[in-house]
Amino acid sequence: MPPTDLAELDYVSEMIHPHLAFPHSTRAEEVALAKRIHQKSRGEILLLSPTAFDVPAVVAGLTAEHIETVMRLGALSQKRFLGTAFDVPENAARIEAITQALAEELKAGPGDVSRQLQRLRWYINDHRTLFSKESA
Amino acid sequence: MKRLSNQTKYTVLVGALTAATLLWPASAFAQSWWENLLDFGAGALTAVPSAILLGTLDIISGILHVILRVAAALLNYVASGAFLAHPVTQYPIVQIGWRITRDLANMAFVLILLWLAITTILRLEQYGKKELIIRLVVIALIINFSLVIGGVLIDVSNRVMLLFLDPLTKGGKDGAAVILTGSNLIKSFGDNPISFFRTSQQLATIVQAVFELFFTVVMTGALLVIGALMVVRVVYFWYLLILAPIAWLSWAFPTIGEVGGEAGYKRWWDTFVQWLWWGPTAAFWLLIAAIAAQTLHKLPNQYAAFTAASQSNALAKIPSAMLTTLAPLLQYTIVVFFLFRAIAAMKKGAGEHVSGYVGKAMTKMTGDYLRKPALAAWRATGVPGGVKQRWEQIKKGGLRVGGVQLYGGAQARELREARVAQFFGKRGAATRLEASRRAQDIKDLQEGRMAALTSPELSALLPPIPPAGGALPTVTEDMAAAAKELLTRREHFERIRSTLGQAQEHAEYEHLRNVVRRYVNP
Repeated sequence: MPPTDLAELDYVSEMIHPHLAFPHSTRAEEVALAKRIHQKSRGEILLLSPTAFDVPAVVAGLTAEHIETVMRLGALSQKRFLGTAFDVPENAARIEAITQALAEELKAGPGDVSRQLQRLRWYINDHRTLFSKESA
Repeated sequence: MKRLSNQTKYTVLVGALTAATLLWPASAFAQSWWENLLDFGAGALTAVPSAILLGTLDIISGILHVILRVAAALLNYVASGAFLAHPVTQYPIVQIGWRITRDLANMAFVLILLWLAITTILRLEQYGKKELIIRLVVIALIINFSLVIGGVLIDVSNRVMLLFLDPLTKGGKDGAAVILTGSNLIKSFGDNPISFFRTSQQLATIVQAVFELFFTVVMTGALLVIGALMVVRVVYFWYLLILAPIAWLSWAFPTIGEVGGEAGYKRWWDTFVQWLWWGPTAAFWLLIAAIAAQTLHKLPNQYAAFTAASQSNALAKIPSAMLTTLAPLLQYTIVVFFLFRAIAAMKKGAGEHVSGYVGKAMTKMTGDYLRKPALAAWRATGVPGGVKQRWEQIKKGGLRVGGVQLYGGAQARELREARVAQFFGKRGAATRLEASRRAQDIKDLQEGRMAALTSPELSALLPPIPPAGGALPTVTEDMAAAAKELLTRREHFERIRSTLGQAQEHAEYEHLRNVVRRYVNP
């Protein structure tokens, strides 16, 4: 196996398992991961492992367009994990905190942050019934 | 008796059919006794497929003829005196619509006159008032008589049309049927079953049926377009007459009255004249097409005379069935040509929108409805796609026949170039290329094999996770390939996360990466 496989390995890891490839134990690391996710294209979001949507830093980095893409074109497992992202109160608080920190880094206003979070919740709540229908 | 195997049966059947197909054209021109024998022999073999083909063509033709009759009925109606002699200005839609626009235009006149009065009181002389007053009077007259003037011009145009169409439709005659003379070209082969067992007869009937189908499509399209345009022409006249007062009012406002960079009244007049002209032009070409259809069917006799006169010629071997097939086709071509002249007159003459639609319709008729289905059917066989794939493979990897390499392809050229480069001093150019190709081949094989395995099967290939602080044992190529494959399987991680938790998922991920790393850097 040629050494180029290591580059391929890193690429696959970053594309499919960013939550496993990048550390996210401190707030700074979480924001860095959220920023990576935030910068991904719609197509790249669909490549994410479903379990990534269970990680607060990943969810905090998602944009409304990302969520819409997952809802429309994503795998059922991705939707299922995303649908439960806000269910645990601790996770919801962490998502909010990371989103705020990310907004500060991206120089967005506090209004933008709350709007973004609100949108995420709306999208997820609106589509929750759809997931359950698809699961059934 | 020993039974034949399926393979033998298929071989005999395919061989017989292939031989018959190959002999078909040759025997179609048969003249001598042995050629006649061949004609019957091959004909007996191809009779069933020919009958199936003709039956299918007959069904399609039947459906098309129903549509053709509808098109002919439409044309008969719109070309009749009942349709054309009715004055366009008598339709309530025109009368009411025109009255509204005329009143609007007259109201605008009042405003213009008011404005002229104010500017006269204030002694403002700009805008060329005197010329405008004269023009206003003329415009007022045109606007208030636009329905009468337009109606007279349309009636003249319709009368000229009737002059051409009367010979076709007067007294309830079926004008379209005159144009369609001889449209039932497919003759039932059941009438003469013995002659149908001749290859020449089959070939002639099939050629005839295919061409007849083609011309039926074209003629149906042509008649439908002409019939529809005759209706559109009348509706366009309604539209133009209703808009006439507003269009002529624009003459009073040379700048603001522009439509698409052209004065509104000028555009209206051009469109109106173009539609006036198209009617008689199309009617004239319809009449010519009908004359062609009525008179040209005498051509077969001339062909027969030609056949008789050319016994010594090679052409004399062409059976008369073929000649009688070709003769109506010539007649059809001429009729269709004149029908298309009628449509083309519209393309050049009428308004831009309609001209665009006519152009599209003609393209559809000749292109989309004939070429595209044929192409789709050809693609559906899988032959063009397969040939393309094989051609790409040959271009890349070369062509080998019976163990002999006839053509090396792009890969062989690259290798030659690398060898030459190595000869001229580029160290290891060819060696590296060969090694990399071998590695790629192995990788492709392995990846293909791994992709076929399930996740538990792949997991079984992996070495166990070493205890904390422990090192991985020697990693084989299969292990690394399995680890790489598993890393791309999202459901594998989902399952671990759901059953064993997040920590185990992370541990699995690290383990898979370590396996690959260990293999690359032992």
